[in-house]
Amino acid sequence: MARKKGLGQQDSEDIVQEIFIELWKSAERFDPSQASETAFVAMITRRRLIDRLRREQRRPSTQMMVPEIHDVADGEHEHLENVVEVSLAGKALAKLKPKERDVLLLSAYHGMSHGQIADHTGIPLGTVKTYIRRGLMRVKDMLDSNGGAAPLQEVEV
Amino acid sequence: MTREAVREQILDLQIDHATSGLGETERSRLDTLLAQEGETHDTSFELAASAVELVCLGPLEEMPASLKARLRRQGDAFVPRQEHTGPLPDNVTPMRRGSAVETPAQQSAPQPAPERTSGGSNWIPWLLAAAGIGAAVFGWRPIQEPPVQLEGPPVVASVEQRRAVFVDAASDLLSLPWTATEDPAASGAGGDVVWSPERQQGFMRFTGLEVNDPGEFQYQLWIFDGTRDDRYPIDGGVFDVTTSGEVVVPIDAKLNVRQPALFAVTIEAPGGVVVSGRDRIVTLAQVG
Repeated sequence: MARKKGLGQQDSEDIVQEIFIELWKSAERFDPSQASETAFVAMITRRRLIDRLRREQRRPSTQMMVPEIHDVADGEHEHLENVVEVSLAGKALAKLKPKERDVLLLSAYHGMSHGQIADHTGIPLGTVKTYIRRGLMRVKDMLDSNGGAAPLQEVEV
Repeated sequence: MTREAVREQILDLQIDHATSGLGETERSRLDTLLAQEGETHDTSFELAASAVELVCLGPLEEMPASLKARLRRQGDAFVPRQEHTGPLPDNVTPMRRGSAVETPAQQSAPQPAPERTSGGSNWIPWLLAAAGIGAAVFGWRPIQEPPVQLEGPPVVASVEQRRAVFVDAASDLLSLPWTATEDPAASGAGGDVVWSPERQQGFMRFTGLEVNDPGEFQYQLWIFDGTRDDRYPIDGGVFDVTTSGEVVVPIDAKLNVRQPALFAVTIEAPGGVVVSGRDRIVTLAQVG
């Protein structure tokens, strides 16, 4: 995740160490009845990466492409194929309209702002906001309905 | 603003937080609105966004061996003498204690949380699993890695002896006197800190620092790095002062210190903290 956010090797190694320190210190807050280990680790990782990129005022390139949705059964995701949240999120994304899905991925995967997405796609700003909200709610609802991502107790942000 | 409008704004901010992050002003606004509604931060949006990111992650690659080794050593400092009680996942290599001599700082490093009681799961296997998951979550480009060299002498020596050997051997030694603040615990305190940028090792020496009860508070070192955001200094380890005489403490920097600028010791809750409130700073040593 760090490398795919455009961090160099040294920065990536540093941030991975920072993330592990946070994980070790917040391990007591992990509740397996609320989320899988992988989803919990990924959430902490995203927070750190987003904070880091915002601090450095790095903005995603508007040349970024909408990422491909990988089939978790394609053998490339052998570490992730049993992660319930990944499977459910994949199903939820597949049910979205193509434009809604693309906008959500530009936001959630690339971290692009609403304005950047509007500029990049030509979709009106208000519609971008609606697509992101609707898309993320669908994923969240899918996870919630399967008990995979009920709200955790508050974790230090 | 109607209550419905407040709820809508909270939802918008939580979604923005989960997808592209919030600035300080927005974050503060979210905290205020949540407090107003008597709610806490809902992590389910972040979990949903994380799941979306994992779906798009693509092929996974191995983490560099040197980083894995560093994480295991780092983990040793956090999980000093715990025995895991549950079975480990097949893909998890148990962390082993490093060959380095255990330092006082490691002995007093933040202690792990008590065994979990909910969900029937012991937290340590999860902790160990995190190192395995890390290889998956932190996708990495394969690179050639030099052999890993473990730090620290294989024989038991006193911390004073190790400091003396270190000072003699280091060719790039930074040696800085401590300046005591007006905090009561630092009244009349002195000593110095020595650090080798090349070795990424160092020692603190104190005289006159208040003896602490580890159940009440502990000291924690912070290293400010000129190349990093000064809001997030590097954790240099938690330690205790057990005597009013001279105390030598090895530095246990959790990250690579690229450009040391300031060493600061704070008083923190037992076990130390991730981010210091800097309410009680006891000694400072500035570079240059």
